[in-house]
Amino acid sequence: MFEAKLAEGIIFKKIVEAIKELVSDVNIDISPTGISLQAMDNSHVALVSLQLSMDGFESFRSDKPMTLGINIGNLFKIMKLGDNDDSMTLKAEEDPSHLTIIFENEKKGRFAEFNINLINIDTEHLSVSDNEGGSQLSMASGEFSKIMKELYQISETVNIETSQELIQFSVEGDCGSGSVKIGPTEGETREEQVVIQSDEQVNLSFALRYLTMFTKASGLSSMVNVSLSTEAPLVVKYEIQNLGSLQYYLAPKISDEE
Amino acid sequence: MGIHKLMSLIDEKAPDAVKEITLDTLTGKKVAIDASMCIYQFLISTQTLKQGFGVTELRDKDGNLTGHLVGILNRTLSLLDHGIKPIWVFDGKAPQLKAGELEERKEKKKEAKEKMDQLMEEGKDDEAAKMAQRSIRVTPEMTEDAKKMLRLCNIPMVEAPSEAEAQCAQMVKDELAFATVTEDMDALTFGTTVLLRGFGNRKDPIRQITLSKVLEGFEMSMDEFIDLCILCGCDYTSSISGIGPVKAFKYITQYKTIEEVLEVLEKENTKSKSATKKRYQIPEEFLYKESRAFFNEPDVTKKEDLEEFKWGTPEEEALTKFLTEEKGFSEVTVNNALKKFKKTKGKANQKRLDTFFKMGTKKSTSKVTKTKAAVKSKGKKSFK
Repeated sequence: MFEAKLAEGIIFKKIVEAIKELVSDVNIDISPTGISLQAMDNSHVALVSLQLSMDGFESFRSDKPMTLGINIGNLFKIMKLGDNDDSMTLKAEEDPSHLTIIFENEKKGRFAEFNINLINIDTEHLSVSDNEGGSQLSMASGEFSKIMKELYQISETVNIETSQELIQFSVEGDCGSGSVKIGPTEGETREEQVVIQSDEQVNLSFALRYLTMFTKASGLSSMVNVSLSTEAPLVVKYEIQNLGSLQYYLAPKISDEE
Repeated sequence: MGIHKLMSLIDEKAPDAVKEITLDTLTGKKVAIDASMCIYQFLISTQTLKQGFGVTELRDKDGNLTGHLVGILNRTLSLLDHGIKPIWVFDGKAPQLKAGELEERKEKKKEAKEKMDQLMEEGKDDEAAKMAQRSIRVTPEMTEDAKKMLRLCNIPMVEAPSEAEAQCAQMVKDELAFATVTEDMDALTFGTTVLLRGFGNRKDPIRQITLSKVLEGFEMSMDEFIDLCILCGCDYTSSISGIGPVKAFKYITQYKTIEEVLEVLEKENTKSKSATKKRYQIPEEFLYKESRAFFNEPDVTKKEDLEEFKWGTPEEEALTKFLTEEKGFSEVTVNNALKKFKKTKGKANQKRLDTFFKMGTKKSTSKVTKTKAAVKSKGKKSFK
């Protein structure tokens, strides 16, 4: 038996929205301490990893760990049926054949219940380790999203170069070339703050197609954390308040000389 | 061609060995393509039937066929566009063992050509077109054209000492490529760890066949698998009449080697009531030992003797000149191809996450008896 109630159902909707372009079928892991998910895109270039702790739920009960195979496209269809101010409950029996999703809204006096059929899938699971060292950037998620989107208009690939106090995003396209440089700022509010920490200088290229897909999660958090390392994939992390985090991993491009 | 009915045998006995994939899953990987096999496919697919004109083909001003060039160019571009690096592998000298098979094919081609001409005269265009497919012959000049084009595109190419699929298999074993791309199933017999089929057809998914899983499903060693392939019928020796893939599978499972199987067959033959007609006709020259040796040790170029593979950008001027002036391509076609080449630049340079992290598999624990397809078709409820 598994039952978890989230006061703000919209958060879950945003999560589903943020991963539905990257992956189609996923295994959702339910454990006594929370919900997690890890999935790779078809070409094994990018990975999404979700961690939700039971503490952020209004109520959480899970007797036995289980892994639920779900089609994200179908899950999104059901998520759209909930209103933004609904609470959401996830429910599954032992050895379930479906996952029950309940949207409740006391103010509007509305109660909606849906069952989504589960599927059996074998997914490839990576033992992901966190980046140590390298360069870290923390900035407003909206701003990061805007930069990625605009750069994608110019080129498919972005080169990211870090130094002690600066991160530079450069592109080269048919129409020309250019770069956006970001340096640390104090800022008046937290959202205006840019923090750069660079233990190792990095110079790597990435596919903007994926980076723009990652920024779909901007709605989950006002801040984004980007970490780069020569020895590891790029990590884009969105903290979800009180609940956990949504992280994306992206393998770099190999430079032509190699 | 290849191994008679091996695919159906795999589908039946080792379904886990086959995975349907899309080109996306191959991003960042290198593949060895059996060029000689592709050339036929491309020539067939570029034949067109025009009412009143008969079967027409793409030809240059000297009358050489050029359909294969269009095909190879497009295939290369589509692979690069998905971030896959192709290595084209061409047949070398046909092995002595294949002489019989080749002679037979030549005869069939001649027959097909004669039949085609006859059907044409009778105005049976559709049937003539079928015969035209069978009568296609690849001349050494045509192969040279393909090689020259690839050289000008700066796409790696290997000239196999003997069979192309054997060379591909060796390159996969040497980890120079992830898989062999061919329709020819004997690439597995030559030991390619992964074989990819079905590139020719855009509608159907590509089928990825993993050799280790075939052996697992068949419950056979590689030696037994090779013997099974020879019994099923391969290109290098005539086969035993009365033995099809199903019987071959049964006998190899039971008796392990062709030698043992032959003994059993001889015994069964003597038991047979009719003295004139034997149940199993073992050909006088059943070259299974030679075939076995060839599958085990084909004439191939090993990693040490191959040049390092490099994927460069096309030599635009020379390529345009060759294709438009000599091979009858329109300038528009060549320009479009060059544009596509530029667009693919950088796509094959994508690293994969599995180069960073260790990979395992995870299964859903949910109790679902329905398969994925069945879930999708839900809604069409039948009324009782």
